[in-house]
Amino acid sequence: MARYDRIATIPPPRREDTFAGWMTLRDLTGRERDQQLGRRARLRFLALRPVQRLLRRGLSGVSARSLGMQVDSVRNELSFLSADDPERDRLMAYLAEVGGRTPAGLVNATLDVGGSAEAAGHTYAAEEFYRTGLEITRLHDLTELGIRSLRRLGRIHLARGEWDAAIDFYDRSAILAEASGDLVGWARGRRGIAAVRSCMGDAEEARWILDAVATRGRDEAAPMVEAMAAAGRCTLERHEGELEAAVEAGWAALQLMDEDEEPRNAVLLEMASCFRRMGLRSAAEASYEIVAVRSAWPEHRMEARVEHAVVAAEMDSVEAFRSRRDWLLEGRAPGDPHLACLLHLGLGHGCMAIGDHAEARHHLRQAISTARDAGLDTMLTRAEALLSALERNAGVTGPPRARVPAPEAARRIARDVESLGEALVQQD
Amino acid sequence: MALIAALLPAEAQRQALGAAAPDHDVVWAVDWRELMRTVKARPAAAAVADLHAEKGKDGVLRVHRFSERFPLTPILVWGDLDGRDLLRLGKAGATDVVPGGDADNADLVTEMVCDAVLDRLADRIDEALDGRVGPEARELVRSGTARIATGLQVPDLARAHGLSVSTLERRCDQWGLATPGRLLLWLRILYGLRWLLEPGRSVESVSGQLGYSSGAAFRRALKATVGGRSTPPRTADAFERALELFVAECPGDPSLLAARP
Repeated sequence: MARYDRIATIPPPRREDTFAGWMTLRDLTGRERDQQLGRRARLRFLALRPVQRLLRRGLSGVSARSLGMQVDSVRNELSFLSADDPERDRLMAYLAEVGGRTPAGLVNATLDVGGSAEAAGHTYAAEEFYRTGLEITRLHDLTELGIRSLRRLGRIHLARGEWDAAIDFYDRSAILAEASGDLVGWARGRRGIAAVRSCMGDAEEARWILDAVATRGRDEAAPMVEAMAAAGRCTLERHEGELEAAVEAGWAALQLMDEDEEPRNAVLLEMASCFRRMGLRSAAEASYEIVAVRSAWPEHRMEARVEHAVVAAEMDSVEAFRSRRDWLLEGRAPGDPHLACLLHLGLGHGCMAIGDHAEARHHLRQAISTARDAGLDTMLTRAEALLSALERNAGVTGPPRARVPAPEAARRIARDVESLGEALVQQD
Repeated sequence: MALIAALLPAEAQRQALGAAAPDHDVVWAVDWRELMRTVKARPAAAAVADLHAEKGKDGVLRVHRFSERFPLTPILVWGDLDGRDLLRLGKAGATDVVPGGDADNADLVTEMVCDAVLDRLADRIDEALDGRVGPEARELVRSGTARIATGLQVPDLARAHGLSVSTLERRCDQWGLATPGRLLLWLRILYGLRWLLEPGRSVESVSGQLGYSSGAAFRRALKATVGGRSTPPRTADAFERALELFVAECPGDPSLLAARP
């Protein structure tokens, strides 16, 4: 039994009342004895300190020798991370930028490492890296990077349910973007606020915000702004269960975006989820096929490939699911732990859907093991929850998830998406 | 030159601190208890301690006790610090940390030590005088604050500035400061009140550090300047009020006062 720790009961200090970089350690709260997480948190803490030192003293206020020693000291600790841990490469690149001392390089590096922490569910570490990056953008007038940093901070606070802070950061990003003539940046900020309102249960307010963005996009002949609004509307309506409205908004967004724009793939993934709920399997599969081919993001590609298999399982096409699963497992296992978790989580879900509980357990345990080793808390939570559900319901066949009848408008859009998929096949 | 109270058992650590703070006085403690006693008895500007200085003792808990008793005295924590240590140290009130890998980085350690021993009270007094008296007057006050805990007297202050006592008195008058004697009295009061904000200090220990023969002597000086009850107040408001009274006693440089909006 762990000894009582009086220090554990002390509330965390405010950022300005503690030493530089301490906030990166806050994700350890409640998990102080998790040695893996402790080592990772310590590494991020040590990595951030040289940048915060440069912030305090000025980019040229630290001798090359001393900064080099501090950076080398961090580099020596990287061996704690396994060779295939993606955060290791990110930190190596980050440390190179720290040595380079260019403002934009430092900001991009902090955003990158912050993104890695955020993907792992370590929001306090992510926040501290983003805040550090934001401070650099302010000192060096890096407006575009400042807008991105503000949006990321909005996203962090949204993830933690800290609505006021989330809205504040998104709003500041929108204001800064608008002031610098970046209308798309403004739209992204406003879309972020709409997402917060939606999470707060105020869908009407969220719709109003997105409609205002769309109107401005039309008025100022900015199709990407309109597309942002439509994409936001697609996500909102899907969360609200308004699937017809979601696919209509998604289709509108697709018409406004170029084929090679990554946000288009995010919209297709949203639409695919809607098609699945409505039993429109072919359209869902076509959406996933398009994303799997076109997306430049490994996460989107993996999600698309895995869900392409799972949709077959959900529609009781056992052979199709098994065939797709085999194809996915034939190739080299993804080195990136995040992608590996996506793969095994999805296949675990698919195996559960066809009643193959033994294989489902295998995949979920694989996901749990990978997530644990790589410190991917969000993935770990999802995998553990799914495994618990499996163990609770093993052997019990419940009714299939209720499908929403597909209205004619949704069917028409589904056929259009299938045509996109066919066109893609013909191109290839 | 500041006084640093240090609890660093390893010779390498002592050398590293010595290299980082060559201009400061270091008083070495052998354990946490002695470190606390040192800071209580002497006007240490900062403390430095190896988290694992005493085997079997929870160093973080000691840091916490230190920061509870001396909340205004920075404490730098050295050593091999894992993630849990670092998390707890932030909550315990450590001012900054020197992880094992950074102990040999002389520039870095020097920066941290300098930040820790920064006389924030001197800055606060200077800020209060800004716009009321000129830079030479503020420089004189600053030199007084730097040595107030060494039993500084008016002749010492005059000598430090290459002046006779009578010349110093004339300059203080010209610059719009209080007389040199009142200036030093006020600085002792302000430092005394500031130190008494720390629960770990007693009136007796503070009086001794300021050169008073006893706590009663300090109390009398306090009553003569700030007024009020004989028990010295231990509140931030009391300190701020004393600072206001000190500034008000300085007539100010007429040319600066006239230029104020």
